[in-house]
Parts: sequence; C-alpha cells; structure tokens
Amino acid sequence: MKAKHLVLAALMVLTIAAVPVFAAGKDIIYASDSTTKTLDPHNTSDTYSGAIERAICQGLLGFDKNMNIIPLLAESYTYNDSATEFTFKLRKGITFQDGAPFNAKAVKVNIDRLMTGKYVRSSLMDPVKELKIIDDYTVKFLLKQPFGAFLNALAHPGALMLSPAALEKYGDDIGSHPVGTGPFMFQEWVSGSYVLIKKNPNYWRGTVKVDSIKFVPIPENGSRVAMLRAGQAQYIYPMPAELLKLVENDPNIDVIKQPSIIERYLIFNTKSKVLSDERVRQAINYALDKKAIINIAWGGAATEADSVFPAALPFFKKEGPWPYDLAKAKELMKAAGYPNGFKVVFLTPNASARLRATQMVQQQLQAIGITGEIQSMDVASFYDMLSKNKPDTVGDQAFIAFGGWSSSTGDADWATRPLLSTEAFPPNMSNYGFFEDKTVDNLIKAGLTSADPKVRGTAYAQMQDYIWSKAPWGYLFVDTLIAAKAKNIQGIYPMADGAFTVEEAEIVQ
Amino acid sequence: MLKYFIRRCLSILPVLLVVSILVFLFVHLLPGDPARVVAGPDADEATINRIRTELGLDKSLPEQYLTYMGRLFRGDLGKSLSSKLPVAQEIALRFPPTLYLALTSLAWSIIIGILFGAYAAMHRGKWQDYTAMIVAVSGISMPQFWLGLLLMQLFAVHLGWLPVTGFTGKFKELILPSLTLGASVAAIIARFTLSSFLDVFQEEYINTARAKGLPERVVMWKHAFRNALIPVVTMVGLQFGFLLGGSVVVETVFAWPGLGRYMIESVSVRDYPVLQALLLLYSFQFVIINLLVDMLYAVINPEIRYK
Repeated sequence: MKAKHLVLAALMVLTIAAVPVFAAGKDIIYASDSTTKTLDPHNTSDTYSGAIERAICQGLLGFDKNMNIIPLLAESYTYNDSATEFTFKLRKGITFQDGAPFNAKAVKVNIDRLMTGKYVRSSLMDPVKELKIIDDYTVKFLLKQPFGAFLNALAHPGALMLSPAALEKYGDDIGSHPVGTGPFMFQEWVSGSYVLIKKNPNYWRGTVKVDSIKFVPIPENGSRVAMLRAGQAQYIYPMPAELLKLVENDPNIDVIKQPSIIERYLIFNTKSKVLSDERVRQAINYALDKKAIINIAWGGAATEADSVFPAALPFFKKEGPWPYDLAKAKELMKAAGYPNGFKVVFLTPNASARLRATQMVQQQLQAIGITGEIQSMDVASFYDMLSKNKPDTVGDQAFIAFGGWSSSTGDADWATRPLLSTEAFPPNMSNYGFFEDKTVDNLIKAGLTSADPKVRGTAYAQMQDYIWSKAPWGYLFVDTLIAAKAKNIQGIYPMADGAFTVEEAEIVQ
Repeated sequence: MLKYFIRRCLSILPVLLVVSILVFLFVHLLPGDPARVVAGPDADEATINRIRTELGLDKSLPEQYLTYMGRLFRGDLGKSLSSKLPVAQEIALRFPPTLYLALTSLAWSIIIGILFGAYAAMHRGKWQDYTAMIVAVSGISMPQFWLGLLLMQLFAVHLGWLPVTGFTGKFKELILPSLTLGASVAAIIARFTLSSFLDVFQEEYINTARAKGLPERVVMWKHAFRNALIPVVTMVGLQFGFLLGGSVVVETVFAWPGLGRYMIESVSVRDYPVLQALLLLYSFQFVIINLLVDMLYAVINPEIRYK
C-alpha cells in the first residue's frame, strides 16, 4: 500500500518535472536582493516595492531615468511665487486598468486617502491644506505654508494614483490588488516568492514591448549571479562588485553602472565635547583615505563624496572631494588641543560592507590618535538606539556612527533638512549628530519658501559651501549602483535612488 | 497506549501557553521599534507615532498580550506588520516549501546515513570504516552555503540540468537544496548509527547469536538492527524538528520561499505577529515530533510499552 503511494507520488513528480521551465514569449525575470513588502504605494516605505508599483501605477508627476521631474498624468502645472498654490491640468482620455476614468475626482480620492494620515506616506501630504477640484481635469493644491519641494512630493512613488473603483472594492487590501494607469498590469503576488506583472494592452503612452516581467527575490549574491549566467534571470540588481570578474568577460552579459543618490558619511556627535570642535571634525576628514575605503570595503563601487549631497540631485554644487592630508589633520588636532587624540565609540549596522568600512575608519583615525571600540548591531537596533538620544544627554558619549541617506523625493531639501536642521533632532527626524547651526536652518528655509529654481539654487549653493566647511560629517562616498543583464534585454534602467524603470523594456534579437 | 497518547496530547496545551508568554516577551523585548522600521528610514516622528497607533503598539505590554491571546484563541494570528497580509496566509504559503525540503532531505539522509553507519560498523577498523567516516565528517564540516553554491555552479550553471533557485512545486527544484541540506544530516545519522551499532555489538545476545553460528548478515540486520535504531530514531526526530524550522542558509542560497528565510526577514524588520506565530509553530512542531518519536519507540521495540 505504502509502496504504491510512493510510486504514484514519484510518477506525479516526474510528470510535473517534464514540463519545460520556460514558455516561449517575451517574458523577463528580474532578480533582486529585496523582497516585495506591499504593493500599496501609499503604504510603502522601501525603494524596491515602490519601483514595482511605478510599473503599475503613475503619479501626476514622475521622474525620467535621470531623476528629472516630468509631467505624467498631469499635462502641465503652474504655481505661485510663494510656493503655496500648485495647479495641475490633467491629461484627458486616460483610463485605469480596470476601466475607471482618470480625472480630477480620481486624484481627489487618492490625495484624500493619503491625507487621512493613516498611511506610511501620508507625510507627503502634510503641507497640504486642501485639494480643490476646479473642473473635471484641473486640480489645485492649497498649502498651509510655502513648500518649494512640493513638486517632488508629487513625483514620489508614495503619491501614485490608484483606481478609485479598485480602492472602493478592495479597501486597504489594495496592497494585493493594485490597479493604476501604468504600462504593466498587476497579475499575481506570491508573498516571499515573486510578483508577476503583465503588459497593459491599452497603455496610453504607446505599445509595451514585453509580455510580462516577474520580480523574484534572490537574497544571496552568488545565487543571483548564477541565475543570470544560467539564463534563468535576465536582469539582476544589485550585481555584487566582488563577482564582477565572473561576468565581465561573458559575451552574453552586460554590466550597467549608475551613480546613485545614496551618500555615505560618518555622523559626528556634535554635542560631545571633543566633536563639537569643528577643527577636530575637519581633522578627521583630512585623516580619512576615502579611496582606500571605497576600494577595500565597498568593492570599488562608489565615488568620493564631493558635497553634502550627491551630484545626481538638483542644485548640487561641487565642493570636494575632501583631500587626504595627514599632516594637515595632525596640525588641526594640535590646534584644537588634542595632539594625542582622544577616545570615541564607533557605531555601525552589522551589514558586512558597512562594518568593514567602519573598521577601516577606525584604523585610519589611529593615525591622529583617535581610538575606540566598534559597536555593531543590526539595522533596526542601530536606528532605534540613535533615535532615542536626547539633545541634553547625548553629549556624554563621543560617538562616530556610520550613516547613509537617499533623498527619496529626489530633492535637495530632503537630502539636507531631515539630516542637518535643528527641527530634525531625533526622534523627530534623522539629525543623529545633533548638528545645530542657525545659518544652516535659515538656508534650509530659504530653499523651501520658493518653488523658483533660481531662488532655490542660490540658497542650496550657499548651504553646500557652508556645511562642507563646517564638517558636521566625515564625508565618505556616493554609491555606484551596479546591475547586470542579458545582452538581448534593453530598456530597463537602474535609477539613481536604487529603484528601476521597466516601461521601455524590450527583448531584441 | 491510546490513553497515554491522549494524555500526552492534552499536556501540550499548558506547554504552549507558557511558550506563548515567553515568545511574546522575547519578541517585544528585542531592541528596535517596528513602527520605525515600517515607516522607513526617512520617516519623521509624527509618521512613526501615527503608525505605532495604527499597529496598536502604543498600548501597554499586558494589554497587547491579552489582545494577542484573545485573537489567538479565535484562531486569528493577526496581520504582518510589514506586508499587511494575514500571518496565517503568509505562513501557509511558506510552510509547504519548507516541509517538502525537510522531508526530501531527511528521506535521503536517513537511507544514506544508516547504510553508511551500518556499513562502517560491519567493517570496524578496516578501510571501509575509515572511508565511510571520512565522508561523514566531511559532510558535517562542509559549510552549507559553500556546498550549495558549488552544486549550483556545476549542475545548474555549467551543465544546465537543474534550475538554479526557487521553488514552484517541481521535483527538479528540490534536488540541489535537499542534497545541500541533507549532507550534514546524513553525516550525523551515519556517525550515530555507527556508535549505536558498536554499543549493541557489546551486548550478550549478539555474542549468543554469533556463538550459535548465525551468519553475520543475520546477526546484523535481525538482532542488532532494531536495537541499534532506537537512539537513531530520537536523533532523526530532533533533526526533523530543526529541518521543519527551515534552514536559513539553504533557503537563502537557493532563494527558497520557506520559513527559515521568512524568520530572518521578520526579525530584521521586527515583524512581531509573524515572529510570535513562527516561534509558536516551531514549539508546537517539536512537541508533536517528540510525541511521535516516543510512539515509534514502542513500534520498534515491543519491550518498550507505555502505561
């Protein structure tokens, strides 16, 4: 009896195994180290899920592949000088994938949903007082106060437009049934295994050139590369820098490198006695051999930081890189009264590259007498610990923490205000070093109170000059993103924020 | 026997109750704030507070425990903080892949392990013994991620016979991960079987059997085998318990959509409901497996009976 069952089971298994793995068709498998968390754009906090949502849904505005803001569902927009009123003319004749029309009412449903404050991305609409429907295809945002970066908030994946009919039908389960206006329609999500999207035959911007894209999480670097080499994935991201040699000579594989908007830096606890002295902070910057850290800890996949925020963001002004000059560093330490250095604590997440980088920093700073133990912990504990510091007690411990930031709105404001303004002291935002400077606060405000690029540009240029010399951070590097793909795949681009765009994906012969 | 079985089953309940409290405390006392993780790295305090309230994490611990237990008794494991999907659904998706992998690995490692162990025991001190044990020790010592990646390179990338990663329900996809996962288990079983046989060989009934001129084959399989099996069964039960928890390394290397990887993902985002459910499930599995192992003793050796 039992033996019979076994034979039967074996037979069944063999029949299933005989079915070919890949059906013919224009299907792409995208393998990534990340796992899809949700497909509800308003409730998404991770870049990867947001990027998949962007293939399904679109916002009033979007980014092109160089992260410039472009109108998408909005045809055009105007705003007043004080950046308190933004009016959008909507594109006509667009329908959601379930047939619901896209119009001012649909926009209102989405913005109202965000404005309930229940969702992760509700904060994008914090500046909004009211959304007015002017006519069927015109909407006007009235803001509580000037907010020059508002266009970026609308280009953010958190402000993507979902079908009002689908929202009505699924409520908050929309995260498993997203419906938008994008080039691909949601097909299936098996949590932990894959997300499958298929082409939207009625896409308003033209014909989509592939039938489907399947997003699979492959956490192990070696396995992801193996998938690509065996032809079982056509596009992988990230392509691990340490395995580049394996694929660089493969005639069927292309490697794509893209400068990112992810900057890495050392957070100085500026409230501690030793690190409150800007000469000490400058000395540390002189003592850091950024090139060595990039090559050894980061597999070469980065470029030296040359301003407070990366070059791929708007209003960037080149300031550096900060030269590596030990003599100067020692001189500054002496001038500050620490010729023999002092003790600090190094804090870092225990992810291996970041830990390696911190170890190198620890080693390099010994040259100017700064020594200390490394405390490494998992990411959640790391940020939990930093965000619990209080401005009046944090000064007791001189710490240097390994930090990193990606401005998810793609704007200069979001690359500085949450990190270096007084209002951003933890727990409110991420100024973990408690850097406090009136000039910086004022320049940040100046950058926000206008939507005019000229006015903003001047403010941010001044700000970058000023902050760079004040050295609230140890400026390290800007990540280079590396992806790899099968040669015959075109039109999938990595974005500077670590996301990707698949709208133009095609398979060529 | 039946009475014993029922009594044992009932005794599971208080065990699980205690486990539920421990699990709840353990999970909630982990450093790290789920609201902060859910909100993302660039969220402001207002957003984090909103989410904390939304997730019910602003209430006191005893209050949260009571809510949790109340739901648990109604069979509701809650929703994942990270995916917002029901935890029961999330686990139901990942349990079969882990179960299949555990069963396949265990099946071949029991066969190979016992054969190797018995073979080494029969040829004690000869080259066959040494060879078998060298293979076994290599099996234990080989890091799983290394073995896994090697097998993958050979069979999936170079020869192209098998899929590289993933599991969609095909037997083909089970081969490499189960070989990788089973290698160390097979080795442990082999070592255990060997030492168990050697113990049994010291017994007088074996001497008697040999003295009355029975062929070694009969002594081995008829007289020694059953008795040697008892400690092996205990060990196999334990291993099965561990395998059912999902192997983090193998599931990561082969991108296996199972429980081991899910556990790690959930720890890193402090997904309390998922962690609680998984830890409860693990405890439950171990209790059940122990019960089954005890039952098996009686089947293997009729002398062991329970009152």
